[in-house]
Amino acid sequence: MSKPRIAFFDFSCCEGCQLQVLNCEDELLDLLALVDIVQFREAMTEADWNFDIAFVEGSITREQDEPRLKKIREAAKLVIAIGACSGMAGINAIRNAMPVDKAKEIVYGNKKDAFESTFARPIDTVIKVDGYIPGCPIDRKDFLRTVQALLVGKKPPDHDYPVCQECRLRENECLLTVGIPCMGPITRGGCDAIEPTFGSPCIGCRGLVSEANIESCKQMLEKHGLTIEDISKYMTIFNSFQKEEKHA
Amino acid sequence: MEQRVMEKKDVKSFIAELIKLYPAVYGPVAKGKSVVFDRLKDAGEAKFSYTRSILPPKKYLMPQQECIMKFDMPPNPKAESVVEFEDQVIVGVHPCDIRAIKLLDMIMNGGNPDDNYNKRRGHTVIIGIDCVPDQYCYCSSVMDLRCTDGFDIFLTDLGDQVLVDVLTEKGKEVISKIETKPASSTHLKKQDELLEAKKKLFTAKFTGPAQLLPLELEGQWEAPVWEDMGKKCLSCGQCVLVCPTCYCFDVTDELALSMKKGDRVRKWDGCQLAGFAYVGSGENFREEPGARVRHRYHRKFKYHVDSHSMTFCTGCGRCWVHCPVEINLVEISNRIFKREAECKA
Repeated sequence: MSKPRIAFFDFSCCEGCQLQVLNCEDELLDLLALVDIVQFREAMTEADWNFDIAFVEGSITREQDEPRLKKIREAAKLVIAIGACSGMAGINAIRNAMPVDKAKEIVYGNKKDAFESTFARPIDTVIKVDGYIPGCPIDRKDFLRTVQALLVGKKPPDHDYPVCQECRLRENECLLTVGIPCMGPITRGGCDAIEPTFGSPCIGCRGLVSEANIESCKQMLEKHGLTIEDISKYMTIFNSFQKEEKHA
Repeated sequence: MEQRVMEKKDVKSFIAELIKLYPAVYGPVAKGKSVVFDRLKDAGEAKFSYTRSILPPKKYLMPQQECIMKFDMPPNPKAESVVEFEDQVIVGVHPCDIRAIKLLDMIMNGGNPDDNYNKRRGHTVIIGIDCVPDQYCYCSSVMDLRCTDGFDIFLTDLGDQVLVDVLTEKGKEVISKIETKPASSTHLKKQDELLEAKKKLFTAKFTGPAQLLPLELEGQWEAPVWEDMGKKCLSCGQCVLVCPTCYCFDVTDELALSMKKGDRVRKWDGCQLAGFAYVGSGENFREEPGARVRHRYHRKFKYHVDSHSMTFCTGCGRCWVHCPVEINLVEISNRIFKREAECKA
């Protein structure tokens, strides 16, 4: 049996998630024993459109992105959204809160008319997505686990538990107990609590757990001395894209 | 039980001797502003004047994550169970955590004894130590302050000297490594006085006897306290992950990247996490956070009391300290007692 063929694509993003794949240095040879990589702009020149699984990074922010994304969907048996930008529009969606023209002016100044840009959306607003690897950037082990799951026909891990679970199991000092506001209690885990482990609070890059108690979390952050504006920033840095917007 | 006395200045050399003699000696050490149990490389690292560790010492009997089986995939499938243990000493264990280990011993030897836990337990020496409560401690409401079993030796700080309660053969062997003298009635009297004084230090208290909670809970399945707590609960699971008597776990098979072999791994899990009661058919039989809080409370104060006649909360205060929204079992218990009182009036 020939090996499954996988390909990588990107839209509006920093390509840091794809870099995480390349960072799997110790595992790359084992990975290549399982799959053939046929398109990966960050790592190779060849670009073959005959593939089974497409890993797509980045948000959809321009009209011309849509036909390209649809072409990927048609070519692939499975499409996996990788990273916060692709799965939930992530940081890109912050600009949806202001008129596009104003956002362009802030970013490009007097060259703003040279760039096309619209509403930032996750890729599942345009095509059907078969799985998500969350995070900014994605976790390397999570990527490898997802590939393994797909190869044996299992559902990829969805990590629908809070960052606190892995944080406590690592026996980190809870940042909330030492007065540092943290989004860990309502943010999806699977990252092995990498931020709190090194002393920085979780800011929600993997999205919210499906049963996030946002109201109580807001009150909790307020008790930690955050203003409504601060809390709003915490809640929206990665998680501002609302599901309803998908139909907008 | 034999009671002896050692000079306080000798405690350090006692620990140093243990480190020399045993493959692994664990004790409380500082981590940031907190304390964790960790391997002692040097006797000076131990911080005995601590209130509570982040995770309980149960982690040396039932690690957060452990491989319980190694397997090979077809065409030559093979499976072999894995039990890893070594002779270990856990030093500086507080009475609440000693009681918790005693409760776990009961559970792990129930219907289907847990080999991994029991092997480790059999190779463990527990050296207990007395403590001073803070505002989150409430062991005085749920257990006897005097620690009489569950340890090998127990140390009580009497000032310049340390009273050593020697309970087991393992304890006798351990204490023989250092010079001690038989305790006198003065020493024992001092210990009694200290326990009396300790009782007065608790600010968090149950308003009724914990043993009565199984009865008090009758008719309170729909009490407003569950929904109130459910509204606050973030379902972060910290309360159950730091609990010294919780023992729930999840088991997953982790394939090596070669896809030819793998490990069966068990990892701590807990009933306050939203997905804990999520089953294969797609239903979650404790969907509401309030129902989960209620379940946890009944696990601590009713179900196990009915089956084992023991309260499964030791009042260590870890869940309270870690709860981001300050849910605590003292408040819940007192509301349970209160509503009963109102009904009677």
